[in-house]
Amino acid sequence: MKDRSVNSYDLKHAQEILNKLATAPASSRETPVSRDTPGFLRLSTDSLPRTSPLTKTSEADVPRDTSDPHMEMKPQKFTNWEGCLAWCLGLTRAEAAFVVDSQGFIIASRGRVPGYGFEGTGAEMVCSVEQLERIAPDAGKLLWVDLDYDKKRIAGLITPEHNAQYYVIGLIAPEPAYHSVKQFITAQIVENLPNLD
Amino acid sequence: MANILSIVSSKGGTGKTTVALNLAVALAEGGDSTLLVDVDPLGAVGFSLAQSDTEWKGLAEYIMKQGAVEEVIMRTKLPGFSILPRGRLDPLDVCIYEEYLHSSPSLGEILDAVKDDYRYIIIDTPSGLGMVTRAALSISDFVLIPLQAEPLALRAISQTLRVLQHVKENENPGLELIGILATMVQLNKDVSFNIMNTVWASLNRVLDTYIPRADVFGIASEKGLPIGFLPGKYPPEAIRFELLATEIKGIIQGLGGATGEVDERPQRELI
Repeated sequence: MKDRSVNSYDLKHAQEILNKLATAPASSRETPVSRDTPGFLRLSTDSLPRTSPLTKTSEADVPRDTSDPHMEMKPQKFTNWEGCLAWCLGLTRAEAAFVVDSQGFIIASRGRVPGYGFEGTGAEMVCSVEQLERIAPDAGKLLWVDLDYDKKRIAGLITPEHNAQYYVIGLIAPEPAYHSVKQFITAQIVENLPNLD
Repeated sequence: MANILSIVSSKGGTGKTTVALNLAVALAEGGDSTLLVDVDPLGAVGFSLAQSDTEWKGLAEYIMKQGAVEEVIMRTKLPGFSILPRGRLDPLDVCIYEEYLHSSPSLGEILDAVKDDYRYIIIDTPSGLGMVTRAALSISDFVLIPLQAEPLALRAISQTLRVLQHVKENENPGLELIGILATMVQLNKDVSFNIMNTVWASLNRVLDTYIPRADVFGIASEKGLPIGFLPGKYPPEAIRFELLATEIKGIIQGLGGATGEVDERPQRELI
């Protein structure tokens, strides 16, 4: 009888993921992406060498200035944090965005989320807010933090308190031009806070 | 409120567009209003229906604010079945299109505008796990993974599942896997038979329905038609897609989606 068995496929990892997908509740964040998968290299846009523009002039008869940061400069209405983060990403061309509450718990994230998530980053940012406000107590409440590391920039908007809770919206590697829209971002998010709770 | 289902695969040539088109037609012919969305920069849905690259307005026009929702969604001759084509996207602008679709809420917006009009929205994604596929997954309720019954596809299945898991855990917690759909199956060929044996033995969430490799798909593609629209004897492969639609509807209902099917019936008397 012809041997029809095949043993050259390692499907153990595939089945593990299928099991996780079957059992994880929709809101579970307790099991981040398995790190057992060997050898994956994670990329970051800030660490990639840039030798030429990523896009070239198009001959199509459509406006091509889709990277204009002012394209979304009209009043926004957000019904959830996911929509808000998607808008922030589009406006700032950030690599990723997340929002944490004042206890440091991640509420939503979007874009290129690393395998380890943003829990740590978000929690540290929340911890730092109080300390940073002590630098200049007469300057009022901290509104934005801009952290320029040698590999990337991380920015964070601290919202005013709403229902005894504030939020930190984090942006990973926004384009430098995002400074020109910070005020607009602040205004839109603050105005939409009651819808986002 | 529509059930949004993305057809996704890291590997190319697994039959995503064929499945998307013929599944959507089967759902519509079964009485469920269905929208087929082509987010693939290639515009494969249009090509499957023998259209030229610049024939249909679509998503690209909506993104560029050159077409309102009602202008870019195309009704077909099949009642209850509409198509949102890719649009007249210049291949030179694919990079911009991909980046924009990923970083803006446009795809979600256009589907939000119409999802009360359809029971099912089927999204045909490009091959690979890049920005467009991620954008589709981030706004979908369900995902179906076609798996070509050949070795390379089986070796690559973990890639798709890994991304799916990541999206579910970090971006779209409501995303549910419908299952793995075996395609291009040839049980009379050793390699395909072996692959299917391995798939059935090693993986769960494999759908009962599978799609065989058959000449009818090439014929349908040549004529620019779904297989159920070909003249002559109704192809058994079209019946497969009806079975697939039924199986998927059952799974969606089990996962809490609204299919419009009545789950319970009153007792009936036979005699």
